[in-house]
Amino acid sequence: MVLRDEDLLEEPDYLASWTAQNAFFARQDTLAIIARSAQVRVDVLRRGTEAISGSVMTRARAVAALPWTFWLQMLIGAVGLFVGAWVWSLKPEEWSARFYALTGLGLMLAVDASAVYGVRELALPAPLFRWLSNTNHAGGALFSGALCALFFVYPRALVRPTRAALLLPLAGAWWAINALYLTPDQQWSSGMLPAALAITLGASLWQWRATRGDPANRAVLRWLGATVLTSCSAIIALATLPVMLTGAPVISQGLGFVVILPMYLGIAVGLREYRLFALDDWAFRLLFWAVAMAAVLLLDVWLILAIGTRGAGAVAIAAVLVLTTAPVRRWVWGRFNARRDMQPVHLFRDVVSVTSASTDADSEQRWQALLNSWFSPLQIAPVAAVASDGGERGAHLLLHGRELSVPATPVSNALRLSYANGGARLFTPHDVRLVETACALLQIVEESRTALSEGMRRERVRIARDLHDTVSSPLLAGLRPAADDAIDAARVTSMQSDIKRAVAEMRNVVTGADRAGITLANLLADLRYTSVERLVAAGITVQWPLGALQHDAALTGAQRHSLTAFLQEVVTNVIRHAEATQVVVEILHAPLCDLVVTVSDNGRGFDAQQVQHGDGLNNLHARASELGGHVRVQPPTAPHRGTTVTLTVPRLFGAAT
Amino acid sequence: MTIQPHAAPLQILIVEDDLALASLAQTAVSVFVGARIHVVHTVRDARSLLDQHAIDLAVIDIGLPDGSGIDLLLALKASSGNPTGASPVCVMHTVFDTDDMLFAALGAGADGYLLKGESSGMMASRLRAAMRGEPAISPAIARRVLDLVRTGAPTLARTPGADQASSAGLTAAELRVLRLIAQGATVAEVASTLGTSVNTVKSQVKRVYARLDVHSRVAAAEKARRLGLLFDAE
Repeated sequence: MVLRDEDLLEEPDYLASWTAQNAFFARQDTLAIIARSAQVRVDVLRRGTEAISGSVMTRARAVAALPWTFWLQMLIGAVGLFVGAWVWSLKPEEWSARFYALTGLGLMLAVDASAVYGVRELALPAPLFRWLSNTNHAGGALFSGALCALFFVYPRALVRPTRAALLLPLAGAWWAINALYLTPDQQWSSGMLPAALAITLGASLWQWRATRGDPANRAVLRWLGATVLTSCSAIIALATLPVMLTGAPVISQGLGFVVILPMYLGIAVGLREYRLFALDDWAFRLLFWAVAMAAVLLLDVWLILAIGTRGAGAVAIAAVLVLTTAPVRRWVWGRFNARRDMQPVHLFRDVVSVTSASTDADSEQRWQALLNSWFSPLQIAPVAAVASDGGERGAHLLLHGRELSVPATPVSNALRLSYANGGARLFTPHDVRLVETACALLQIVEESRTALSEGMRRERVRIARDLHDTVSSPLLAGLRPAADDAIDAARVTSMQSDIKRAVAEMRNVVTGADRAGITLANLLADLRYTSVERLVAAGITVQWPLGALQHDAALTGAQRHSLTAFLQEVVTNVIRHAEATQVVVEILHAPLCDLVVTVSDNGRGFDAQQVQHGDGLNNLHARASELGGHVRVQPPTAPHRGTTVTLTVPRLFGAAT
Repeated sequence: MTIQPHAAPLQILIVEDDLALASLAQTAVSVFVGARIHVVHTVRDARSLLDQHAIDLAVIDIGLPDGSGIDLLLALKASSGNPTGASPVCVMHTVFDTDDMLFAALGAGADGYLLKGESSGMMASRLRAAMRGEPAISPAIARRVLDLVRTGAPTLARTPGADQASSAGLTAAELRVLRLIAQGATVAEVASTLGTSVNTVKSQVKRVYARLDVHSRVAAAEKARRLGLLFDAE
C-alpha cells in the first residue's frame, strides 16, 4: 500500500469533507491491520535512485518511547481536571463552580483523546480511532457549552442557572448530530468552539451592562474577558483559522492546547477572586501585551511573505523586528500609564499647598480635597483609632479594594475612603503607593516647616532678648528711688510713670516678637488668660465663654500689638475705675464678617463729660483706628448698670490667609 | 496684699546679674514681710551662699554670666537644708514665657517664672502662686507642649501604658487640661469645667512638666552656650 502524507495527519478534523474523512479512516484501518502483522515489507522509493526494500519486525510501542507531546497533553488534561475539581470543591453549591468543573472535565476528555491519536506512529484501527475522535468532540462540546453557561452566571447571574445549564444538552445535541454524520461536513463541528466563543462574548457584553456600578464584579469581568479573549484569539490564530483557510495548522495541535491552559487557569483566578483589586491592572497589561505581540507577529508575517525568505532569514527578520519595536512598545506603554502616574513635581506641589494653609482646620480640609481630587470617592470618613485595623501603620486596602485606609498625618486624623470614582472602580495597590508617598512627603514637609519656623522664632527671640537687655535696662535704671531729695518729687513721679509705661510697651513689643505670626484664636486665648487672672485677682468675676472662635485668622504683628494693648487698657480701666464686681466679655467673628469685641461691667460707669480719664479713652480710640475699626463706649443706662465697650473691626482679619 | 511671715524668717535668694532687674525683683519679693533677702549676681556667689544658708525661695535669672541658671536650679532642688526639709521654691526670671530654656527649667523642676520688667503687682502675684504650689503655665506654654506632642518630639518622655492615640506619653486627661488652657482657661476654670478639683489640675500640669525629658535640659544648655550667653562654669 502506498503511503500518503495525510496518513500521518495529526487530527482527522483537518479533513473537511466526510468522504475525505471516511477514506482516511478506511486507510487507517488497513494500515493498522498491516502494522499488526509480525513482519512488514517496506519499500522506499527515492527519485533518481534505486528502490530499497527490506523487512522490519514490528513490536508494540513502549510507553517510555511515547513522545513528549503525549505527556504534555496528558498533563494539560490532568491540570484541567484537577483545577476544575479544586475550584468546585471550594464552592460546591455555586453554579459557576459547577460549570467550571465541567469545562475541566471537557478539557480533559478532549485533550487526552487527541493525545492518543495525535501521537500514533502511523495508524490506529478505525473503530478505536473514530471512538477517540468522537470523545475528543464530546470533550470539546462539553467545554464549549459549560464555558458559555459559566459566562451567563458569573460574575452576575444573568439568567437562572438552571436555564443556563440548558446550554449543555444543546452542545450535546450538536455533538450527537455531528457524530451521526448528519451535518454536511466537518466544518460544522470545528465551528463549535468559535461559536461558543461568540456566545461567550455576547454574554460578556451583557455582564458588562449588568455590572454597572459594581466595581468588584466589573474588575472580575474585565479580567475574565481579557484572559478568554487573548487565549482564544491565540487558539484561533494558530489552529482553527489556518485549518479553515489552508487546511493545515501552523503548529501541532498538542502545542495548541498549551495555549488553552493559561486561559483556563486565568478563569480559575477570576473565580477565586484572587487579589481582586489587582485584576484590573493585570487585565490591562495582558491585553496590551497580547495586542503588542499580535502586531509584531503580523508585521513579521507580512515581511516574510513580502521578502519571501524562509528558514534562518525569517527567524532573523523576526528577531530584528522584536528588538526594534521594543522602544515603540515602551513608549506606547508609557503614554498609557502617564495618565495615571502622578508627576513627582505635581505631587510635591500639592502636598506643600496642603501644609502651607494658615490654620490647622484649613490644612485638614485641603488634604481631604486633595484625596478627593485624586480618587473621587463616594465617602471620606475620619477614623477614630488605627488599632482596629490590626495594627497596620501604612495605607492599605480593605474589602478587596472597595475601601482605602489613609493613615494619620501631621495635618489630619486617619481617614477611610470608600468606593473610588463614585463606585466605578476599586482602589488598587497603585493608589496605596500614591497615598503612602503623599503621607511621607507630608511628614517631611511639615517637619521642615516646623524646623524652619522654630529657627525663625528662636532668631526673633534672640534679637528681642538682646533688644530688651540693651534698651530696657537704662529705662529701668530711672525707676530707682531718687537719692537726692533736692529733685522735684512730682517730676520724679511723672518720670517714673513714663518709664513704667515705656517698659510696659517694650514688654509688649518684645513679647510680640515671640508671638509673631500668632493667630487670632491663640491671641485671644493668651489675652483671656491674663485678663481673667488680673480681674479675679482684683475680686471681679468674669464671664468670658471658652471655646473655639467661629472663624480663625492670621494676624500681622501690628494687629496683634494693637488688639493686645486695647484689651489690656480696657481691663485696666475696669480694675481701676469701674468699681465693678462682674465683667462679661463677648467675641464674635464669623467668616466674612466684622470682629466684634464687647466688654461690659456692672460698675459705676463714668460720666460722659469726664473725658480727661487719663488718656485711657483716647488710647482706646487710637488702638481701634490702628486696627482699622472703631470703638464705642456706652455709658450706663442707669446707675450701677455699668459701662459697655464695643470694638468693631471690619473684615480686615478675614482677608489674611 | 502682704503675706503673714513664717515662723522663722523666710530666706529668699535673688540671682540676677542685671542690677536694675535685681532691684525690681527685690521690690516684688518684699511682699513677703520680714523675709531675709539675699541678692547675688553670679552663679559662684549663689553656690557659696547656698552652703551658708538654707533657702526657701529663689528667683533665678535664666541667663547668668558664669553658668547656667538651670544648673543652679538643679543644685537648689537637690539641697534640702531648710528647717522644713523641703527643697526651695525656685522661680525663673525670664523675658518670655515660651523661652526654650524656661521650658527646660520647668522640666527640671522650676516652680514658676517671673517675666522681666513686668509690673511688681504681677510679679508679686506670681510669687505668691509659686509659694502656694501653683504650677506656672500660660496658654502659650500649653500650646507649645501640644505642639511638641503633635510633632512627636522626643523631648517628652514616654510612659508605659500611655494611650497610644493621645501620643507621646501624655494621658487623655492631661491633654484635655492642656487644650483648655491653650484656649485661655485659668486653672480654676479648668477644674470647674472638667469637674475636678483645682489641686488635681495643678498636679496634672506638674506631671506634664515632669515628663519634659532630661534630654531637653541638656539640649537647652547646649543651645545657650552656642548662643554665647554663658561660659562654662569653673
